[in-house]
Amino acid sequence: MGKTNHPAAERIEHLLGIIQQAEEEGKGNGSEATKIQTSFRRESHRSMADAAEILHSSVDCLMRLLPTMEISLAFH
Amino acid sequence: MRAQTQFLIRGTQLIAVLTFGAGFAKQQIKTSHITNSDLAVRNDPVKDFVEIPHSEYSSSLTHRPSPPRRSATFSSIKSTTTIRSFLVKRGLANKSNKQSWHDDVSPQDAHEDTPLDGVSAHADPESEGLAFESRVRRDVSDPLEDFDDQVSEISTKQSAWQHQEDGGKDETDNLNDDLMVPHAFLIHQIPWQLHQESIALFLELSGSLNCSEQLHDHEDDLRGDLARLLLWGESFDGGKLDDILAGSAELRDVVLELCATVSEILIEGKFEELITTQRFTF
Repeated sequence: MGKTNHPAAERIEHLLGIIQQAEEEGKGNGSEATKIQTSFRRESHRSMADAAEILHSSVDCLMRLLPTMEISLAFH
Repeated sequence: MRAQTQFLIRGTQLIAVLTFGAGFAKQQIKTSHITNSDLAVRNDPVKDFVEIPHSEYSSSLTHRPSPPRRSATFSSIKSTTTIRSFLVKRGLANKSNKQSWHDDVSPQDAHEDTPLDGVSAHADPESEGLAFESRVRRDVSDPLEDFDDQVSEISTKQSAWQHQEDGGKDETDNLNDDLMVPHAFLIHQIPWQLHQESIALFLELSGSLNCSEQLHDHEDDLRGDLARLLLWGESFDGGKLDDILAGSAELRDVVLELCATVSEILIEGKFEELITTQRFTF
């Protein structure tokens, strides 16, 4: 990735660094499905429609986790 | 003379017959009116209270009233207080028993009767009272003792858990742990950082949705997803997300995966938008 002074590019680089850090941690103690999904994600070339659908599904999953996470938060 | 002798003989026979008849009739009265209820009353520990009136025995073979029952006897006793006072008068109950049951009660309350007094008024009230006293004291004191035990047990477990969290090290070793804080902080902050960076990128992307024809087709969906992602993050501000995910490795993996997916999708979308506008090259 080329160097640029654009703030969006810096933000993307920072975000990519965090994702790489998360993947490294996931390789250490993550499941096999996570590793496969990560490798699949690297190699895939999604259209914008597919990307919007995946984004929508991911946010859906996060929202469905809310009750469980709030219960877990109540016990802290 | 002969007539006088026969008169005396007949008179003696008559007297004998009358005497036998009277004795037989009295025996019949005694046996015929002892029913099962009488036996139950007489076998009862409070049989001394039941006094059958003598007038019933003095009656003839005519219809007699029903024998006295416990209910009839106790109907004259207004409450268990009377039973207790009756027992005290008869020497069957000890006054100190009742006082010992209510050591912790005020003197006014001590004079009030409880249904338990009546229960212990049956056979051997003294021993029953002592047993009841120990039973009551055990029932009252056990929950408090259990609570204290539970509190001490929890404190012990908490201390052991805290010691385990510290790795069994003493305070001098904890000084070296400070060097590990940044690394641990970075690792545990990853899901929250991913979320925050994704939100920032999403907001930037949403401002240029109209610039890209491809992004414009999904504008409504993307704005809705951005709003839900913001709402999701508001629930876990101030390090709450890290506290939650620290308690469950599976939950942490799932949240990390979802946040990473959102970030990558947004990066791809941002790339698309940047490539379209030719402001970013790689």
